[in-house]
Amino acid sequence: MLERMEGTRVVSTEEALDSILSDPDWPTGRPTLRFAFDELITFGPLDESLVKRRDPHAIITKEASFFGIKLSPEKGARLLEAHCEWAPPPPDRRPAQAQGAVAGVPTKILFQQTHWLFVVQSPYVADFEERVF
Amino acid sequence: MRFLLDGKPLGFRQGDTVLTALLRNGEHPTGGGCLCFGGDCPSCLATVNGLSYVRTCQVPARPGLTVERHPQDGLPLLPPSPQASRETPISHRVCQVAAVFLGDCAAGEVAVEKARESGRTLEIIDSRLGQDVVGIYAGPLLLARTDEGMIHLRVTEELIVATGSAEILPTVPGSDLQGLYTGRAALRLQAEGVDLQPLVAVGAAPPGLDCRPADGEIQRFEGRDGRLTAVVTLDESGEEQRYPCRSAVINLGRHPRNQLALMASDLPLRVTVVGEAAEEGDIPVCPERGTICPCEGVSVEDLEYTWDSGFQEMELIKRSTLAGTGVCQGMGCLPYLRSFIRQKAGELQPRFTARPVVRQLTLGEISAGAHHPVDLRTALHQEHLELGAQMERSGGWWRPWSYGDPEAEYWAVREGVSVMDVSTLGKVIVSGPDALAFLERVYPTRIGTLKQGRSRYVLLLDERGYVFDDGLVAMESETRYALTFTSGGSSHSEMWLRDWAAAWEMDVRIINLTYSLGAVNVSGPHSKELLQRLGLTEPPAFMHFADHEVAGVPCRVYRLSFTGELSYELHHSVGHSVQLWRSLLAEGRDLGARPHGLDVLSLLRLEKGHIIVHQDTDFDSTPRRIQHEWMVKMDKERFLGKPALERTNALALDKALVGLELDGPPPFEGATVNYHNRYAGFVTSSGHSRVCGKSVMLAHLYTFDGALPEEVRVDGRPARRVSLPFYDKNGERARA
Repeated sequence: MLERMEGTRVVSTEEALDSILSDPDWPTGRPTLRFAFDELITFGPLDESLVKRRDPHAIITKEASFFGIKLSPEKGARLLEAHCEWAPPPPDRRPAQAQGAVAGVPTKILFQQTHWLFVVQSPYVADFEERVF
Repeated sequence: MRFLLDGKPLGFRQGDTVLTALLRNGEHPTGGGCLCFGGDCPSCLATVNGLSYVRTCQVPARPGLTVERHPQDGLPLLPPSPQASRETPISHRVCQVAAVFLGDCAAGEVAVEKARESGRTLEIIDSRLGQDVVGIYAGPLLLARTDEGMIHLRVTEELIVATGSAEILPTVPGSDLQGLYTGRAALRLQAEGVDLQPLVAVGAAPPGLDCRPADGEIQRFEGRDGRLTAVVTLDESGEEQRYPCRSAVINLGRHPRNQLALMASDLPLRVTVVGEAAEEGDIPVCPERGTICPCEGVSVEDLEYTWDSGFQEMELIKRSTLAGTGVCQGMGCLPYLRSFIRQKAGELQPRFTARPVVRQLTLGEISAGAHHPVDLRTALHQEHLELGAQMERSGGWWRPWSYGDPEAEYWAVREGVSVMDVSTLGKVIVSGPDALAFLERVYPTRIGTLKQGRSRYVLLLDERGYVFDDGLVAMESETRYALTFTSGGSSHSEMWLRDWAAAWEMDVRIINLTYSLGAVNVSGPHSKELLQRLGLTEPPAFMHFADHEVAGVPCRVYRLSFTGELSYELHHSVGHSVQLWRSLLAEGRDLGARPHGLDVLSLLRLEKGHIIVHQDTDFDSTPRRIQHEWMVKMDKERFLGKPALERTNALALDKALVGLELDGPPPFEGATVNYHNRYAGFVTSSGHSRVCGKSVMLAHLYTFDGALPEEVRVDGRPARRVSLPFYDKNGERARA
């Protein structure tokens, strides 16, 4: 079932986030979801100065409301086929990120080569698990 | 092998459909009518395994089936509702494909090969396998029914339609008798060994069918006890010829089965129609009498009347007569409607618009894959259940209504200490160089005078000056503010902020932390003591806030009061909600700490005269109409809704939210208020106040002769208007 994924959420200007993500000091090897042009979450701690030196007004919060589960691409595809009305990004465009309703639950999905990460926020977790698993 | 027909066993052979088995045994589905065996006519419908309007020609016979004929007069009965609620969910899958092929693969072999060779993803819905598309919607989205459940197909490029043609059904008198078959049906029944003899052919007899031709123009079918006994024609000399028979095969031509292609014609898809579905089809002789739409019982006389009434276009005739709106969706009547209009107007009009669905669906099939909107759960949901809470939906969330003892919950707040899960409140942070300027324009309250570490109660107004939400604004720094909103209003309010920030090009960042932060309200005279025990050595003063650990949990502690008692709101990461909640209840046990639910909160805040937006406000509630003018600073340069308030404030007050009280039990919320037998408003909140010893209410009350009445009647009982609040009028307890 889904497990809590602690992370750091950042809201800043679009330019600042674009720049941060290409910074060599940006932590790699862990999932980062860019929800919107001005918002992202990275699942792990973050050196706030990376953000603040670009945007002193950025909002940076520790985040514990996200829950996730990793599935193999095969299992993930079966899940989407049964519960998702929208089309996932085609294989030639992965890794990719998408967000939308899965079984009627707002879900963020990170499509990677080895696994797909399904992320749901805390108030939805119980319904997601009941409906999908 | 047997199944049950109307409660009696009926034998069948391997490979029979239900319809074949019925006919083999000399039975017939409901009533009569020409049978087509192609799923086009409305004549073979029955209730199969409790499901009505099933085409028995499409259902393979198997042991254990229960088949019931529909009533001759009236509609089949609905299944009893408890049974429906136990219906097994219909499975469904969703897939995206470049092309979809509909129909009989044999008929569209070339098109299928071509689509396959192009390397595109192709989904085949093959009618021979009992799969059928029931509708095509914007998207483009195709809904198909299969033995495995429903398929929702998102098609990106092409729709290939090879659904063939339907045979034209007869309309002459007697067309509702049993024993009439289309050419395809008769051939199939003959091949399956069903005895049709003696059999007479109307029109050209299909090759290979053992039958006697009926020469001349068909006049009528004659029968006895609902069964065919003879075919009557008019020969070239004008003489009637009578052909005694038990069965008749009807060949009046064919017309394309192309509803799905028509349905998709306005969608962004390439629609390729092949085979008989692409042909124009035959137009039968215009009937002079008889029923042209057996589904809806539309006769030639009905068409004449409609035409003479001025409805002379295909779509208008369809709407006026309902021809084409029944079970077969025009497969029976459409050729005759076209024929009728051509004779009247001298030209052939296009077919009427085809609309989903073309096959009857069960509610289970319709809802396959659909979900109710999620009712959100706080991080404390399980804690509430374990404490025996009765949960209720409120503002899009599951919230505790009561923990089983409202009396004890109430007095815990008024005299001891109580906790409430208020994690559902909207929580947003606004940061940036323009944060202050932005909030000054959003809120009617003055924000610039707010000091760091302090908060203020605020209303949100729309451009018309109507109240649509309320909450707090708390100043963290000159460029950063924390805002709260109502539980049900947070998403809308967030969008409201984002839209205006973009429209005004404000340099601000906005984050919605509603799901990220839990919140627990600690209320009651002993709340301060409880928090001190848990490490909050210096609780903030009224309408101040501070960041501090409580029970080892980092919290933002707001000092405020909605209940009317000394209260603190502890905002914290949802990851710590359970730890904080349990610590509060455990440490406060000797202080009588217990949780309270919405039931009690509603009364507590009513006694203080605090409003709940959307319960105590109406669609046209201005701050003045709810007596909250004190929150609006009209001398501010500008704020959302100000021009509207300037205009409406100049008008005489017509109604106001007021406090009422009466003796006896409280009226229901929504009860009518009368003044001298005239309608004077309605109650928005009511309850029996334990501290006041009487029923108290908030109500929208109209003015009469420019003044609000002092004495009114609520629910027929006398009530008095009183000043708010009902309890702790000087606010000594709330500000303690």
